[in-house]
Amino acid sequence: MLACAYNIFEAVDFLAIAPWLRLEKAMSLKEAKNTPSSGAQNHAGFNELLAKVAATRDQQAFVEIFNYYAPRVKSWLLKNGLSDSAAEEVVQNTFVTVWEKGAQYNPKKAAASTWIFTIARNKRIDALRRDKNLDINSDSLALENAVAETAPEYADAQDIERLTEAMETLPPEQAELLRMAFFDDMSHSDISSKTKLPLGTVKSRLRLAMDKLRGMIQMGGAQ
Amino acid sequence: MITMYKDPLQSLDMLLMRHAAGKLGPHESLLVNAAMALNDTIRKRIAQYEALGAQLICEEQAQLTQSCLEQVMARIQNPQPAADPCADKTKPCPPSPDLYIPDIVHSMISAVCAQKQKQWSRATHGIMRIDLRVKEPTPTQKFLKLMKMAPKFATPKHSHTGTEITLILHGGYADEFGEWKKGDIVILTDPRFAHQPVAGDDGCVCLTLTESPLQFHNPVTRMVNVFFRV
Repeated sequence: MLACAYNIFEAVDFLAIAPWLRLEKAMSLKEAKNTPSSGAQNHAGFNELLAKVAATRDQQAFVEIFNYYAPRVKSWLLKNGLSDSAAEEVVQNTFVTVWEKGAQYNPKKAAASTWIFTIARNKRIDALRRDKNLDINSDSLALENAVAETAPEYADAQDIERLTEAMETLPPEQAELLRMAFFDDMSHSDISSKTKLPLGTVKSRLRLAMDKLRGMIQMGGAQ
Repeated sequence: MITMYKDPLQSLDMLLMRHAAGKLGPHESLLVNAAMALNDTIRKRIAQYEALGAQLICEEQAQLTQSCLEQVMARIQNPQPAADPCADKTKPCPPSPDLYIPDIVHSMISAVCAQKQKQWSRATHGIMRIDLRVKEPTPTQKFLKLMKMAPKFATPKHSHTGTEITLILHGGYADEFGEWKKGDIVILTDPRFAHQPVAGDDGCVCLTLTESPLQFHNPVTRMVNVFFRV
């Protein structure tokens, strides 16, 4: 269903950086990783908790969700250049929306973490637009109400497992670059100067990381 | 020969991941949202990148102020009948049949564009266009437009400077690289190849984002570097 064609330059360029592929297994993140979130299991717990908030308006469950995710959302916002007070405001708006829209949460369509992240992402965009007096609200682009109920399920537990696995098998430096490029709002040249890597290397590694992720996703997403 | 460097940001997955991370500007954002509305595969792919983003942001924490939770709890316990930012918006006029834009895409365009009325104007022989004035925080050199080709119409061979991203909204077209139909995103990044789209039996309506005007009849041969079909 999804076909892509690269030209010869792409193919040759890929070969030039292919030696990285051989390093991947040896440099697996698995042992080195000691993060509070341990992937799918942790997710499942919060999915249930969020579904409970939706079903029973359980404030205690909501507080648990807040306590886990709010500091993480704030950390991401700070890295995206928001001031402490602006970040707190976006965090608050995010979790008020999590409560208000809780009934729309469908654990079959998204993990709690994903659902909360997308709300935070949109609240951040809205805050930036409000600063510029732009009369655009992310809700006006939202698909929730527009897409038929028959739409295929969104990322499911298997996808998340596969993504976690993909991230864990990426060489740590690639995973780090991916985070910086896409989720910490750093430009390629910012990353280059922070990591002291040449710009070309930053780009090659990012592309390699993307290729690998795409491969993992397609593998599971074959329809 | 292989001195050219392809910018890794210019591929479909990069575009979708930037969308997932909330990093697209208003023009690209509109195009990707419209694509999500028309294309299940793109929607699913974005959901996967959102899941990835959620995982990445869960790895680090920042200290919240003492009152953060209290303020949230106060707000949810005493919900303000907050003014719905969408409520006072006049409903976009429904698309006229000859626009050939799916309703959902039309309402997205209406939400982010300055003009409410949309009418085709002649771009060149056989091609009609509507320039969309997307509201943006800072002016950029990006041009978003709707293009309409008559059934079976063959455009002149042309090329592009800078990246061109096209989402097909109605009908389809074929060119040297394949056949493209409703919901497909086509990304052209290399100015060295020209292409000659030929509209299908139903004509073709697309949303096209460019960084510069088209260059028709350019003597320099142009090349299409990356090509995606979803």
